[in-house]
Amino acid sequence: MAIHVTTALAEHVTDLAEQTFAVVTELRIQAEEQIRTERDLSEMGLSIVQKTTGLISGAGVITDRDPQQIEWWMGPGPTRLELDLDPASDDYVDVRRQPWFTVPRETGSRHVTGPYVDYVCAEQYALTFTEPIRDRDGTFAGIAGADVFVADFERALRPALRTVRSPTALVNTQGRVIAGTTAHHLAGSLIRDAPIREALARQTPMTLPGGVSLAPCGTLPLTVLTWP
Amino acid sequence: MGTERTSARSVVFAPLDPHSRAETVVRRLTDAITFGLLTDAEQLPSEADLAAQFGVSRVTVREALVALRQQNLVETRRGRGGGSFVRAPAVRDEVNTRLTELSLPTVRDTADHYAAIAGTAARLAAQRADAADILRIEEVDADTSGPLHRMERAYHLEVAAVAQSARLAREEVRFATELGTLLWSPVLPGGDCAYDPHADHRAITAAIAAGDGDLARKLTEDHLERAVDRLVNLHLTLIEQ
Repeated sequence: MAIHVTTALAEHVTDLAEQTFAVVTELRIQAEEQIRTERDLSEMGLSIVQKTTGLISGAGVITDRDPQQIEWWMGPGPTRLELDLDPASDDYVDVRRQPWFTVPRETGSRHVTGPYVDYVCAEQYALTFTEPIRDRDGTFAGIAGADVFVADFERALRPALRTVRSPTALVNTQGRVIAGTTAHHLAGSLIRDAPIREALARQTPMTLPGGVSLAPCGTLPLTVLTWP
Repeated sequence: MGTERTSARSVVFAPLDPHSRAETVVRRLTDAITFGLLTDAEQLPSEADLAAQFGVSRVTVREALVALRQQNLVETRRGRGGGSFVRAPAVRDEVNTRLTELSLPTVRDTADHYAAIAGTAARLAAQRADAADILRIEEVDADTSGPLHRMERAYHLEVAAVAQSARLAREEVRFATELGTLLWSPVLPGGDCAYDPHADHRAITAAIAAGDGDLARKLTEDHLERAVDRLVNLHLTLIEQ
């Protein structure tokens, strides 16, 4: 019974994440088309703005070439992200060093970053879903992505979380809690228990000797943990 | 006075020992600018002359000039009449003016508020950091290319991010803007050997890594208190003049 409910919760999380990634994929395809036809990414503005609704608080595309093109919009408003690209400025942040940029660049795959304090754009506690953009030769050319605030993600999951009777938490592969049903598992806290941390790295459904069960969310770096 | 100044200036441009490089050039020119031996808008010798006078390669001089430009202590103009020009005294005057006009009760109150924010961020970071977070904090702290106030801002912002608190991170940015440039101004006397902000950072990071939140908070509060003491002492020196 517990396993079944936990798996249902993991599937719900996977659905929400896949819906977000579907939006990211649309942006990625559009960006690749713009690059292929040598057109400017700023033409994507309207299309990006239309995607910043529902769970998605911000979305856009960022290139890897110099000068770097950043077409990122945040709702409601909507507001275009204006980053200071001058390395000598106090406000300068090198986006090419942020995990939501480096992981898709290094692995060639999509990635969920967070939960983390996003001080680059929205200054919120967020999850960022990113996918690599490739040019005609298949070389990494940048990222397409979408932000979801952890508070909104938790609100969307709340009904499903409440169907699990025992203590439960949605965590990332590092054991960082995104949403939980007990005061011990508030967003941002870290699971320090070594056997659980090792099990998280394996990304397979299992029940540990202590009775803690793990239900990974598809191929995403997210897992539902349930305590007996 | 004239001769004193001339001899002091010759010390500025005295040859360096072969082991010193760009960093020493930067330090020597920064000190000279800070203490007014090189004055505002004054043109520095050419790259070739600087290289010859310091006894270093032109590459080293160029590297040093890049660092000085980043700190806004030198401005390089191209073309006829171009070259590298000193520009820090303007910054220094501005900071001195701000310092002189400072209200000590306001500084104390702002600094108390800031210590509450930064101290709590350090305590929570110790509770919530994993090994990758510690590496990120260390990586940020290892970048010493910018001016001090920017390094301080980057360090404390990263600690607040590791604390997983968006609100504390936003407050860090606000305080860095409001107080940071003054609190960690390069103009403040660095003569006090005991004052080493990077050593403070390393100790705070170690406490965070050890999961000792109370110690991380105390070290952060002490770190800020030292910076405030330095600022207040300079203010008092300036208003006596």
